[in-house]
Amino acid sequence: MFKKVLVAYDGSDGARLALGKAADIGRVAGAELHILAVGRIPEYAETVSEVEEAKEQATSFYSKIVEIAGRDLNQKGLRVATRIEFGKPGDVILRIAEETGADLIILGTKPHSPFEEGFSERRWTKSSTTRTAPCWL
Amino acid sequence: MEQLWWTALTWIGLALVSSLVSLKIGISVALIELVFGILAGNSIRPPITEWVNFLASFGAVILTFLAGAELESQTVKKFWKESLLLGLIGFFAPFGVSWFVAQAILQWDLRAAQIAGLALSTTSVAVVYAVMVETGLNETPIGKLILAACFVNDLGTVIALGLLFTSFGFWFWAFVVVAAAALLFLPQFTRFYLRQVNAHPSEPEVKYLYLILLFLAYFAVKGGSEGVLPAYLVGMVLADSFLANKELIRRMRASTFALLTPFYFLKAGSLVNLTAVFSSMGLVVVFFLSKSVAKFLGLYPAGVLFKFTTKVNFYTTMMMSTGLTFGTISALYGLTNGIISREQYSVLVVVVILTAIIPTLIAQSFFEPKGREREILFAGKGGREGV
Repeated sequence: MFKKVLVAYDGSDGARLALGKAADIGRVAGAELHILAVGRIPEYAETVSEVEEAKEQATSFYSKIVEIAGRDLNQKGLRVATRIEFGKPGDVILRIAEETGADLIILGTKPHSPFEEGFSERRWTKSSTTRTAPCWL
Repeated sequence: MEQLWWTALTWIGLALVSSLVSLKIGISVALIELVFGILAGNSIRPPITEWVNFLASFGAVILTFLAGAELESQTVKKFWKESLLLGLIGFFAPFGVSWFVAQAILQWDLRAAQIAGLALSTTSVAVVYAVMVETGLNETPIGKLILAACFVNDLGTVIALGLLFTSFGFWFWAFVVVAAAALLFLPQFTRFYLRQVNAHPSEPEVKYLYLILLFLAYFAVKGGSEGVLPAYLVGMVLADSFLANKELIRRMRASTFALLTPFYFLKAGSLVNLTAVFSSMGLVVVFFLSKSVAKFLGLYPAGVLFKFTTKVNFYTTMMMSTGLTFGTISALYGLTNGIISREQYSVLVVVVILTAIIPTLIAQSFFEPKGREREILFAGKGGREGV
């Protein structure tokens, strides 16, 4: 059964649904849950401070979201660790899954219009993570 | 009179669209502005007036100052040997090879070939830093070492750009004396000044920095040098006080990114002639390879000397092959001063854009150090904690 579950979480409806499922699995399997939020930073930046500012904004946005999610699961008696990382979500989720030794990754999704489905980063995250994930997804 | 507002409207409109696209696709606004500048310059042709030139030039100076202020002096001190050697090789190898290729093979004249060498000698601390943050390497010894080396590399470009085309007359030496005095006294005086004005809403700190940079840029240009040279050096000597004052960085960045750098990157892009680029695709490939191969042949053996693992060595080499801001600054300097033609400029800027993207993608896809490889370098110097 699963021992470490990585939940990619951004506070959206789909992510909250995924977190609920992760909590169910965590309870049944006695697994440790790792909640991960990924903040975007600009690629090919022109100054370091540009990247730093993007990091600060993402941290300020996600810290509360992740903290609330972690606290809720803690209150349900689950073992939870939270973290915020930066970069392209697909790559970062895979890297953290490897680093933490996760044996299951859970991430939520939500329906998009055909246009968004074709071009959004969310789709890219989903497909790139699915292709190369080192564990169950 | 209404023409003034129409011109401003066009440029700011392009800047806004660039920001929105950057926001949506997560790519730095600088690169998007360059691309939109290229598209606009080859279609609607926004007028490049005197005031556009001023804002663009001032943007380049402030951008260079911000880049200089990103120096982490502790890291450079800790890895001074490695960063100095890698940085100098990272500058001289592509500079020499691209200069040689342009002059000996492509028959560009001496000064144009030197501009080609300079534009392709650069790396990009910011591009590399973003990748490091993304891969979590920015906190590791290897990450800090590469960033320090990139900094030294760009310093080489800025100094060469400031000195290569000057005539070393009276005003140049006057500039040297003024700049040396400023660099000597500024760190202490700036700390004192910042304590006195204490973040007043009238922004006296930002105006103070603008004044210093404009003063030194005036002397630099009067002396036949380039305004970005003192800006980078001032950034370096003020880095410690500047990095400690995040609010000041934020305010300065806000004014710079809102009004100055868009004009710089949009203008730099708008001067690219796409027809010339398409008819010189061979040159684009030749220059791209001359930079990449020179960086590889120079940096890889140095990495072997420092006992980098093969993967770390490839990664370092690829990361230091990136380039963006100083590449475009060098090329634009060449065009503005009549050293290179519009066609040569167009080729160089496209190569610079490609070098920001391609090496980064290759490094991330194939050579990103993982697991223990991240920490293993220079374990004897204290590893993560010691940096």
